[in-house]
Amino acid sequence: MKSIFITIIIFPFLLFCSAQEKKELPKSSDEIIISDGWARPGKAGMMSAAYFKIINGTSSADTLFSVESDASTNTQIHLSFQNEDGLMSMEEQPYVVIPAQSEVEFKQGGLHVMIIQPTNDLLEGDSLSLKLFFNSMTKFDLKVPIRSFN
Amino acid sequence: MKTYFIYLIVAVTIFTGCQSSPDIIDDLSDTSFKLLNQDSVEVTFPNDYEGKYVVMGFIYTNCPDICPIITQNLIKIQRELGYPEDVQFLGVTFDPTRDTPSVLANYKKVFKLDKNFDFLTGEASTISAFMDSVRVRSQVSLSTTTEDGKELYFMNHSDKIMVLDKKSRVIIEYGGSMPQVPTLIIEDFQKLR
Repeated sequence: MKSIFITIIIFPFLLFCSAQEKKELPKSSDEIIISDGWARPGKAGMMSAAYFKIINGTSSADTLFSVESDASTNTQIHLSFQNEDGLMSMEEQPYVVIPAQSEVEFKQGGLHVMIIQPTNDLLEGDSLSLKLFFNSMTKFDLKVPIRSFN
Repeated sequence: MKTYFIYLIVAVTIFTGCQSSPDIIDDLSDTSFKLLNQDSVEVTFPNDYEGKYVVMGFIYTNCPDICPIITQNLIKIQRELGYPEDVQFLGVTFDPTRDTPSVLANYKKVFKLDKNFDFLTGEASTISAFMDSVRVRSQVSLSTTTEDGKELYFMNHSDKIMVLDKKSRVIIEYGGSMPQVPTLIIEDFQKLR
């Protein structure tokens, strides 16, 4: 009876608490954190894009000014938007400011890193290496999963 | 007797008014376009699809962000409808110069698509006339130079997914990359079928 009580009541509660903890953003810290990164699969020579969230927990703004990838010699930061003629358009972003104590999300239909003509197939299940360069001289090396769209 | 007759007329009026007959946005049944699918098989649009619903989006494969979302939305609609045999899914390129059948075949492989999902291209003049008929606009916008010195261009374009009924009439249109589009189209289909 006791074990049933633990299974039904306590275990789901612990799971809930655990899930809640994972969602917490960092409290004021001196860190910039890159999270939730992923990249779209793509064939060599075609096109792909990478997305992630930049969380600036520091007390000063920072600026992302470049992203590089081993998968391509040509990566660019772009913003998708609807132009005044109602057409979907893109504009290259020379830099992206991440205000203090806030986050900026690179997401589908908005900011994205174009992986132009990757040298190899970007296969689902593999990972993509990215280097993010900030004005504060911070450089992030990360690997993001290449995953399905849906 | 007269009263019953009036009731009958009112009832028939209400009943017929409640039938779900979608508005016809456009009729493509009198058009004909010779296109090629990703396997280089010639397709006559819309004749080859008469008797099926057609869910169609408009893309170019060098598009890094919006067109993959449109394709994803088409995939979601197909999956959530249960891969119906009587619904053909199409992605038509407005960039036929670069989007040859073999390029479209690679694009289809990346998305791991079903047999009822084809990508279409064609002669530039045919594609231009086709896009006019479905009111899709596109224009070259940005360009950049690749490592090997070639010019790579991007395009501004309409954002659209449309549904044709079994008589090739456009009955549904939404912004193709909108996140709520799969839900809206599935709800519309449920009313139709």
